[in-house]
Amino acid sequence: MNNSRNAIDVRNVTKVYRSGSLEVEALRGVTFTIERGEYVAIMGPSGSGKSTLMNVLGCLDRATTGTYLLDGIDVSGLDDNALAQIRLKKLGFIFQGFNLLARTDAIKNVALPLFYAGVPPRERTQAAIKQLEAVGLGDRGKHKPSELSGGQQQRVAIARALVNDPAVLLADEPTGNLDSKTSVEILALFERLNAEGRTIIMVTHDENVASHAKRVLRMLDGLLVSDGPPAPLRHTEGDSLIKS
Amino acid sequence: MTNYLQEALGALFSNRLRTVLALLGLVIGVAAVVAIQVLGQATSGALSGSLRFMSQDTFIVLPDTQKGFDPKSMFTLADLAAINRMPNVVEAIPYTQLPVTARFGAQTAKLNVAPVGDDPRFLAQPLETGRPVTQGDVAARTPVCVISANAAEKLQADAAAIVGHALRAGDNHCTVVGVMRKAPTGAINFDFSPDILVPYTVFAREHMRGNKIFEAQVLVDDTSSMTQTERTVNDYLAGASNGKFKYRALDSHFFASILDKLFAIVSLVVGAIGAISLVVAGIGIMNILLVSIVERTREIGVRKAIGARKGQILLQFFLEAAALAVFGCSFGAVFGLLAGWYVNSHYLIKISGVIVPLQWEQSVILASVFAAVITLAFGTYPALRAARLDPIEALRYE
Repeated sequence: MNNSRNAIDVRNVTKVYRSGSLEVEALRGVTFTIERGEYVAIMGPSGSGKSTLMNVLGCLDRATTGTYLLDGIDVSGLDDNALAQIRLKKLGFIFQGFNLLARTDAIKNVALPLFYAGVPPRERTQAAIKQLEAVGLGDRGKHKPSELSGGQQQRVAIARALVNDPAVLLADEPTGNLDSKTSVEILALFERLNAEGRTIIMVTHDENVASHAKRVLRMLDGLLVSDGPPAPLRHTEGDSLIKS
Repeated sequence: MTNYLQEALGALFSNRLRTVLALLGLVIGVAAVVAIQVLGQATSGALSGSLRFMSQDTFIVLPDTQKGFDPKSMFTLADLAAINRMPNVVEAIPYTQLPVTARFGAQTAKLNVAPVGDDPRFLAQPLETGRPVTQGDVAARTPVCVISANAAEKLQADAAAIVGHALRAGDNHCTVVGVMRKAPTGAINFDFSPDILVPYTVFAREHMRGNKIFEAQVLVDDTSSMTQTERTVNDYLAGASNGKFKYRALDSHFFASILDKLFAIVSLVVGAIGAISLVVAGIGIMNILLVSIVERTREIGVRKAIGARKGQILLQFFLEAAALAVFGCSFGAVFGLLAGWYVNSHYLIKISGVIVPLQWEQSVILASVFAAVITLAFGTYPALRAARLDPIEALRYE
């Protein structure tokens, strides 16, 4: 391990999409590190490359050039199956649309990563119940997503992201589909997880959501344009989170 | 492995209607093939059973008409007498029948009259009452006759009451000496089932009126040397025509071989139907799987994002195909066997009078082969497609 304090170490990463003769440079050389235990928001307008960066960080996509160390492991040159293994062991995903399996109860949803990791059924269930309790849904294990509120669904998704004890939690607009009150709850949960030592990276377009993070990376035209603490809140938290 | 099977079954179970519809095509297809297969075998068995009408110890000799028929190739009663004297030949009689209007009392009926020898093996059915035609009848050309149960029925005569009474057959009379038993219920009524049997010498005098013989039926003593006897008879007749004509013999082996060819064709047709239904059912399954994959694109994306490897996604969808195929083929085989059993025990038995046991083991093998082929041929592509989905695109799919 090169730098054991860093959860994420991105050096000169570019990403070029080719379609026919057209080349689109989504990332034009991005370099930054994120230490273990940090809570970072990535912001930027659409087309700024923040989604591409998120896909690269999430090992769903490979950088065209540059190196990317995740938890000290160089994942730049890994093949699909090796990347799947990295996602399984090192990453936890939280999506805007929750992305739970619709016809599957909360326990099985949370246990899904362990299923692919080859953990025996009984241990899977035990671990899933433990994670659901950790996000305050200990009594909803047998409920299907349709029987849960949006906030509860997102908490199931968070439990699923945590069940494999990942090095980094990646959240893509985690409050995008939630009302303000529920958003506050989810952000509070993130803050608690961060306080417990979790590394969290969150993509958002909402300044007020980003203000909950301790550090904000701003992207523009495929470049990292600023790196620093979040902008101070303009309004009281409750008002600012009301979605238009 | 069991975990993946549970996942696959769970996915199928959670969309019951679609699963049932996908299975329906396969169940019907496999059931049809299995039913046709077991019934084909049962029909074959039933027909071979009723083929015993062609006595194992007789053969038929006739001119070889492959190059056209010449009336001069027909033979005479003198030739029959010569054949009668040959080793291993018990008796040789003309093989023919004539339609006549028969009359008994006031009752008339359209019946067939045919020649018979004195050996009871020439009779299609054993006697119900009376006596058979004897050597004395044949030698003395006594105008007697043995009639079938069918003839007695058509003439509205009681079997016991008609014996000893005269019957008018065409322009001639004969005294009924015996009545045969009724053929087993439902047995196939072959054309050659004469109603009125008269001694062949009488038949020659009264009905053939000097006409020559086209076919003769030869009863042999030792069936194991029948082929040799057939050759001797053929050679004799060919020699009698100074080598001008050729003759050939037909025995039960010959008819059995025709039947075998017939069933080979039936099997081929059944096989073709089976192959078509396999393809149709397979396409149905493939379609369902592809639809299911498109519908679950996001789910596949989530599974991949979470860390499922290609092989794991492939296995899951492959197992769904396998589960569908195994369910469909099992149910199909069961329904097919039930249908086959029903038709066999309710209808085929009436044709043959024999119960032919169904060859269910073959159906099980057939259904298993179907399941394996369908899984491999129609499950592989959808499963590969699911496994190859790009997680980013799949997650973005609405």
